[in-house]
Amino acid sequence: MRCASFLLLAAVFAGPAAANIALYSSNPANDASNDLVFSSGPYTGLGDSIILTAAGVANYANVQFYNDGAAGTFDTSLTFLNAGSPVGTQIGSPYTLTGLSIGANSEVNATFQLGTLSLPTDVVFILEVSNLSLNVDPGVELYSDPTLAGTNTADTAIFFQSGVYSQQSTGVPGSGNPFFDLEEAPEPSMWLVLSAGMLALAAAGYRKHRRA
Amino acid sequence: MSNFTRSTQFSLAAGLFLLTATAGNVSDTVVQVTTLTNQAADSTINWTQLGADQTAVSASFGVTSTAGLSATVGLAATGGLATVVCSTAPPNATNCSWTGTGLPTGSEALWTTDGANGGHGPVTLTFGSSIFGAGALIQADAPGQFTAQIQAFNGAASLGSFTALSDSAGDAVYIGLKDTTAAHVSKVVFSLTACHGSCADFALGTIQLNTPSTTAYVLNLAVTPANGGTISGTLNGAPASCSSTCSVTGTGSSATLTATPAAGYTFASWTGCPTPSGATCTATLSGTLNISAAFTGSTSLTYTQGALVQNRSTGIFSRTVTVTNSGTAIAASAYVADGLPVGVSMVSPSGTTDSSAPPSGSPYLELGAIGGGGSVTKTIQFSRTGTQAITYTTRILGAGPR
Repeated sequence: MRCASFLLLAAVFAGPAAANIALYSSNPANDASNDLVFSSGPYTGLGDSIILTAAGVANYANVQFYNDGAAGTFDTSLTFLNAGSPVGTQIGSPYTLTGLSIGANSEVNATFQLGTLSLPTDVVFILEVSNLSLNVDPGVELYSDPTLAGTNTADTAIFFQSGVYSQQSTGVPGSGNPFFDLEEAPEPSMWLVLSAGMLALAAAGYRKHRRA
Repeated sequence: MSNFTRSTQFSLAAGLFLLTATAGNVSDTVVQVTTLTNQAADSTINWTQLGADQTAVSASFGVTSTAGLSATVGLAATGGLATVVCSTAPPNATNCSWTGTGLPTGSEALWTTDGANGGHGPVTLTFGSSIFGAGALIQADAPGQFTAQIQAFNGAASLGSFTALSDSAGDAVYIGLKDTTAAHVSKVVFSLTACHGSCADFALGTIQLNTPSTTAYVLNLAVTPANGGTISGTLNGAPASCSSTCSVTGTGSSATLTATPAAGYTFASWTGCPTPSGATCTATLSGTLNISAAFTGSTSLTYTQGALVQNRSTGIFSRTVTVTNSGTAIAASAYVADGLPVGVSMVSPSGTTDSSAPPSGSPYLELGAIGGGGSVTKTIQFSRTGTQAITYTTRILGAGPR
């Protein structure tokens, strides 16, 4: 019995990521097999206007790129804006990732550490790429609705092109929205309460075992 | 049968005739014809085919027109004569037995019998096939004013009847009719309804006929823009109705057409119409005639286009295009992509290039006819050989199919 209790605690502490709260999440099972390629527009930025499950603090953002070109590296940035027509004022500063490696005609997932970013319910995210190595040709992958968490305007995306933001159709129904996953990690105090409770349960079990 | 020989000599120009008509019981429009010129016959029935002057004919006999139309002539009784009209009275006249003024010198006539109905006829001509009209000079055998009548029938149905009053001297008067609706006249009946002298019979000159032509006339119609309106009417009975391009073949040479605009359009003009009058066109065909009606309407085309979306399996980029017509009239539109970069090509639709220029040779997407207030959404696809931006200048064509 003692052994089982400690295993439970270990599992709780080892998996904070799995226990994150999704503020918005595309459904990984709904890959539309489409992508928006930065070079084709050319588009300076690509993203989406989304509605979170609730206003809150976001800690992680996961995105997915596809490379229509040769293998190489690139940098990327993520910017949040308030929703507007189609965008409003910027929220905070852009988050960047550098030296992302990607294979030819392959996809790669990237996670932005957002710290504790407070976001409203309606928000726009924009991804940009830079410092592309020779013949790397990245784009953002599209996933069709329904989402796992949060909502969007189906089959649309936000484009930043020639200094202008616009919301455009991505085509026929099911053509998809840019993949995006926004998570909130539970507060540390929440973990402390949870841990104390689990320890108490374990101790009680141990005493019961001794009396028997 | 009287042997009376007319001797009155009066001017051909004399004669104010009182003309009256009785409406028929069918919907055809039948009009009276009062002159040989206005009859404008295309063939005749000549009585000389019956034989020499004073050849006796039976109460019913067959004749043939110069165009080959057969007819059966019915008299009120036996005793009629085929006769030749003389210009002067005997003894100067030879080989002629009728000298009435108003009948052309030397022409032939059918001299009806005295028997039955006081010699007032009728003389009935039943045609082998229906015609548009008929007429003839008619004259009572005694000097003095007379009233002649012509009746038309479509089978047993009356198409109408007309009368003509001669001058006081009783000179020959022309009496005829035409069915302006269609060739529905299967029978005509000539008779006298009043005779103010001691007349006992009358002479009927050469029968003038308006027969359906056996010539096929072709009327090519066109509406611009297509579906902007309709041309409708008849080509001598053959219905004509057209909203784009049509060809109508009829055996008549007379056409009356009306241009009716579609919703959102107004009629503008005729092209090729010999006699236009507003939205109506009348024409007499002597062969093939090309007539078009132009309609105008307002069109206002705007477009929106979606993002370039790549299919990861094929590498092809797709984009939805929506063109909206906020005008009132139909617009046949197309989306043209001018100035595609080298290495970028439109793969769907493919092989379609615009030559309306400039610049010519650009690929385009045919959007078809868009009605007023309507819109059309279609998808175009591009491929590229490298990492080129798929940029181009969008142009919307709004007139005429390509």
